[in-house]
Amino acid sequence: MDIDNELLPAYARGCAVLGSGGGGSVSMMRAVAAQALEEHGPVRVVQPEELDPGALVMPCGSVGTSAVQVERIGGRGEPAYLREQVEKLHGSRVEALMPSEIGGANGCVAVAWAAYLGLPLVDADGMGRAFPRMDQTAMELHGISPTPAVLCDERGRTVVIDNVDGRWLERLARVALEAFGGQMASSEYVLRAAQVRASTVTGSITRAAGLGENLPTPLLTGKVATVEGGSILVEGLGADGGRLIRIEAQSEYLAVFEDGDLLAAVPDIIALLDTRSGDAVQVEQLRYGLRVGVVRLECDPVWRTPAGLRLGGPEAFGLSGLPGPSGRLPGLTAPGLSRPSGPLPGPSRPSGRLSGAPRPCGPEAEK
Amino acid sequence: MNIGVDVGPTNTDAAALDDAGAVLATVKVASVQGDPVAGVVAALTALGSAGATRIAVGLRGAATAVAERAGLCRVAALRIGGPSAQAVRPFFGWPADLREAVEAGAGIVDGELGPLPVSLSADLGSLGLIKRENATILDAALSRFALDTAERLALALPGAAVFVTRGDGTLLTSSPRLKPGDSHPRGWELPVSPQVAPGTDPSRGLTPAPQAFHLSASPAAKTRTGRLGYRPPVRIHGPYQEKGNGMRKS
Repeated sequence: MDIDNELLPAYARGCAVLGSGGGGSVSMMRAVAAQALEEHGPVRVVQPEELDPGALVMPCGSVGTSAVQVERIGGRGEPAYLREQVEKLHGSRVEALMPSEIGGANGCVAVAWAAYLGLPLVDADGMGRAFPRMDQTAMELHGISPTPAVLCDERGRTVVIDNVDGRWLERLARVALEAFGGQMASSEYVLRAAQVRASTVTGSITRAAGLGENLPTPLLTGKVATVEGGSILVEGLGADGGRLIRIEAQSEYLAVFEDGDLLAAVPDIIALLDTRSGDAVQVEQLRYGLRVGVVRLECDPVWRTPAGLRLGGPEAFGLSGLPGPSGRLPGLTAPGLSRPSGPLPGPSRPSGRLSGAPRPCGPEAEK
Repeated sequence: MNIGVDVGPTNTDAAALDDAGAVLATVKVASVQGDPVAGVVAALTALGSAGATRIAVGLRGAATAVAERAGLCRVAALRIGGPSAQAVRPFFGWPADLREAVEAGAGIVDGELGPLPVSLSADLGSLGLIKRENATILDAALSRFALDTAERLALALPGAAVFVTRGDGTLLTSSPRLKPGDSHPRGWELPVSPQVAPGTDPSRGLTPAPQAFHLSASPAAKTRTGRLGYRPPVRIHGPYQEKGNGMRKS
C-alpha cells in the first residue's frame, strides 16, 4: 500500500478517530502531509516482514499541545535531525519510520516525515490510538527500552536522554518540552524490524485508512448539551431521543456513561463524529449544539492485559473503580447525570504527547 | 430614529425604529444586481430616512465576491517566520481558481518590511497560523471592493452615523484604526472570517456567504481623522474586532 494524496483524506480521518478526541491538530498536520506528498511523492507502507530483520525502525512524532502546533507548524528538518542522532546512537541505518502514535496528528506527521526522508512507513505504531504520555506504548509493555531517546526542534537543537525507563523518560522529556517552547520532535523506543510484529500495535496504518473510509456505527447520535470542565453531556436525537449520556474527558475522551452504566472506557477508543462531515471532533473542538455520533472502538489487546491496563487503563487517568463495560457503577447513577461533575481527579497534565490546550469556558471559548 | 437595512441577493429590506425600539415602518425593494449600495439608497428613499440618526447596513458583497472570484485584488503573501513556519507554504490547499484569481506570489521571509498599507493578521484571525494567514490574504484581496463601497455609502448617507451589522446580528461602532503618528492608513479590516478562508480545512471547503459585509462611519471618526488630517471617515471591521458597544438587531 502507498499513501498518496488520494488516500490521505481518509487516512487522516481515520487517524482523528483513533485519536479518541486527542492527539493534536489533525487538520494542520494533514496539510503538512499533503504538501510533503505533493513534493516528494507517495509514501510506501510496508509490513515488518518486508524489511531486513536487523533493519532499524525509527518511531517518531511531534510532542506538545495543539495550540502551539497550529501556530508553530514545523519545519522540514526535524526527521533528518532525529535520524542522524538515532543512527549515531544505534550504529546502523534507519530503514523505515513508524508513527509513535497513530491517533491524531502524529499519524499524519509520520507520513510527512517519511516523505521528506524518502523512507517507507511500517504498518504499525506504538499505541493503536493516542495517549498523552510518551511511555504509554506497546513497546514499553514488551520490554523495549525507550532510550536512547532523541528530542529536537526545527533548528536541530537536540537532547539525548539515556539510561532511563519510560517513567523517567516522560519526566525528563516534559522539562525539555518546556525549554523547547511547548513543541518538539521525538524518537524513542527505537527497535529492529524483527521486533516490530511482537512489540508494537501492528496494522495501524491500514486500520486508520480503512476507518476513514468506513466510519463505525455510533452508540448514540445526539446533540452536545453541555461542556463543563472535563464532562460532556450528549442528548440523544432521532432514534436515540430521550437518552442522555455523559462523557468524561481530559486530553482524550476517557469514559462514556448512561444512567450509571459504563458504555465505554479507556483504553478503548471513544470518538465523537460530526454527523454532517463525518470528521472526528476533538475534545478542544467540542461546543454546545454540535451534532455528534458517539463511537466506541476496541483497543489493541495489549491494553487489556493487567500491565496494559495499569499503563493505559482508567486508573492511569484517575478513574478508579470502573466496572467492565455495561456494568452498573455504584455512586454514579442517574441523578449524577443531571448535573455534570467537575473535572476528574488525577494527575495534572499541562500538555500531552499532543494534547489539547486547556479549554476556556463560556462564550469566549467559541472564538 | 434608527434604520436597519439588509441587502439580500433578491430584495433589500429596511426597517425604521423609534428610540424605544418600536417598529415605525418597513419596506422591501428589489436589490440591484452588482450594486448593493443602490439597493440601500432605494430602500432608504422608499422608507423616508430624513429623521434617521443611525443607519445599520448589512451587505453580502464580500462573501459573494470571494464565492464568485470576482473583483478581487491580486495579493502577494509574505509570511514572516523562521524555521518553525516552513511545513506548509502560503496558498497551499486553496481551490485552484481562487488561488489563480488572488495569488500574485508568495514567500516566507525573515525580516522587516517598509511603510506599506498592510493587512495585519493579528487584528483579523484567531489562533492558527494557516487559517489566519488565509483570512488576511482575502482581507487584502477585498480591499478595493471595501474602499469603493465605503466611499459610496459615505456619500450616499451624509449627515448620519452609519453603523454596520455583523453576521451575528450585532452592530459595530466605529473604532478608528489610525493612531497618532501613523503616516498612512493601516489597511482595511474586512469581514473574512478565518472559518471561511479556503484551504484551511479541506474537509469543509469554502463555506459560502457566512458573514455580512460590515463597515461604519460616525461623526466621531470623521472628527478624529479630520484632526489628524486623514481622509477616510469609514472603517471596515472584521468579525474579530472588539464588539464595541454593539446594539442588537431585534
